Amino acid sequence: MDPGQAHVDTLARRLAAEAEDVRSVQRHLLASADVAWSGLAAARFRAELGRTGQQVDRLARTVEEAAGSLRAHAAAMAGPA
Amino acid sequence: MSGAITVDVGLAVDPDQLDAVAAQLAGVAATVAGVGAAAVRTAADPVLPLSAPLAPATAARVAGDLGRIVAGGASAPAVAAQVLALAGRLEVASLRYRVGDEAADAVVALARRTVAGAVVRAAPVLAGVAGTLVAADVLLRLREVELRVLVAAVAQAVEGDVDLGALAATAAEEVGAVDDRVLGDLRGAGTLLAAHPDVVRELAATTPYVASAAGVPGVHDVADVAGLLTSAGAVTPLFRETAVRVAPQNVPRAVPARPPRGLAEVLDGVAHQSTGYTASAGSVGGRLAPAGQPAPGGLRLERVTQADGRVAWIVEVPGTQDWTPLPGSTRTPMDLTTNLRAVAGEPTATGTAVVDALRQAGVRPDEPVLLAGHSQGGLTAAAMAADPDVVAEFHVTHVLTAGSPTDGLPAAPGVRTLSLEHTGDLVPALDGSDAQGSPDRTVVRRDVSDDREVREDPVAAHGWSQYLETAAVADASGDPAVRDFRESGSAFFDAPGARVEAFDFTAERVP
Repeated sequence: MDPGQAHVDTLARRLAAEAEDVRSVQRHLLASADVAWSGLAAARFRAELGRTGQQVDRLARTVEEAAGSLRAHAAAMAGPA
Repeated sequence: MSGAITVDVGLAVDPDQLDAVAAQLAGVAATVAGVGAAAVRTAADPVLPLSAPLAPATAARVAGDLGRIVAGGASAPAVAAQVLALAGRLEVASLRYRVGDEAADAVVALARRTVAGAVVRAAPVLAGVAGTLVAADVLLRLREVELRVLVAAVAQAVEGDVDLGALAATAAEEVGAVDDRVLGDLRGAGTLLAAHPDVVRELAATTPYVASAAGVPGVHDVADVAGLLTSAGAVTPLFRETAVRVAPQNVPRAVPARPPRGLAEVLDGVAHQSTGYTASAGSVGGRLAPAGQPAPGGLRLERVTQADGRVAWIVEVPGTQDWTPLPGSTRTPMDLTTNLRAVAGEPTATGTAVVDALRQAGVRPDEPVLLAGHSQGGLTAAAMAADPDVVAEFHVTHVLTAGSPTDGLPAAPGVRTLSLEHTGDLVPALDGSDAQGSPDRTVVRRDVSDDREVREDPVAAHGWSQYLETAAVADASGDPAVRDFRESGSAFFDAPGARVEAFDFTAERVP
């Protein structure tokens, strides 16, 4: 692997780590539903929390895909095997 | 019977826990926003553009993926703003418990007024991808302001009473700090855009969803997003209007051999002012002398004198040349700020420049004027034709636009407008509505989706080269409405004994 490929691979690893961070905070986000709070406003909060959780999940996937694209790019830089 | 039910049994809450969870959510938002910054850092890495020629397909995929992280409805800043909105809900609940509904409502109103104070101007269109890039960012920063005000109120409540005066000072400080935060974000976004112009195409369609995804109430379409974006000028250096200086160009370029013979030749004059113009594009009908790429900020006026001495003027205004939301960064007034302000119905630097050029060229109040423009140039032309001050000073009789979102800008009575629009061109659709024809406005639509250039690159549907073809098709069509437009504007077109002179100007912002 030449230095350019190695560098892009490093970028991929860093971004993959960012995706893991998002996955990690996604758990914190969803845990917010356990807050001691009831009533209509709380119900709306939890409904919105669910939607936001899906958005965070989607973002995490996007970041994972970007990391995967970077890995693929690093491999493709070498040209056909 | 099925479906979820909600049972309300009254307030049951531990406010300390609400505060703690709100703080936790703010931390989540910071992490999510940090992913956006990481994506920008990755995109700006110098190795990526250098490596693209080695593997262009995978490089393009990387750029697209990074672009989705930075901008759009599911981008990191948009999601972070959503999370902050949730934290805000918790803090409001905490406040209600601690100080009662009335005081809490007053704090919420103050926080919202703070944000609304930032959102002071409404503009019904967004016409730029750089704007898309920063939209979620700006909203995220405003959400931060709102949450910080709420957190400060909770802190006051814990200590004793809520002091709205002190909160207002906090709010003002926070709004002021938005400038620096957005500027920092903007540097990254601009770097990404400069390094990956191919991301533009993917982002253009996502604009309407950015603000709504960020949880901003009342944001349903592009118009609402644009209103929010334009408002950023009130609190940030983005989209802030500047003065403009207009100077005649002393070196003739693309000198016309004769007046134009139709719409395509008028539009070709516009195309020659575009910074995307290159010599290889040639000239429609060979009317203009061979020329290379123009400098930014160029405007042309053509004075057509008919054999009987009648004088008429054609004004040629090019499209957007600078997509960054910091006006003046490249000097040209044909920038994103002008786009937003034009549709907002506010004076623009480009409009001011055109008026200045008309005055410098000595256009008399009784001489007919045709305003022609592509994209933003058409937007500027339409805005000028709708401006009572402009039509009071100059005899604007005709407007020709190509690929311009002009539906919200009805021209002054008596002005005839002809708009060229392409199916699949996003830009004229950015005003959020289909173009409407009327007795004074002819809309010529053409489906260019089968064109090979457009199939390979959908952005080409907006390009002036495609619109030149459409104008030529319209010229050849014999359609009564098109014919009527041309016949009513015969003073602008070639005829036996007619001659033409060009007056070229350069406009630049003076920050």
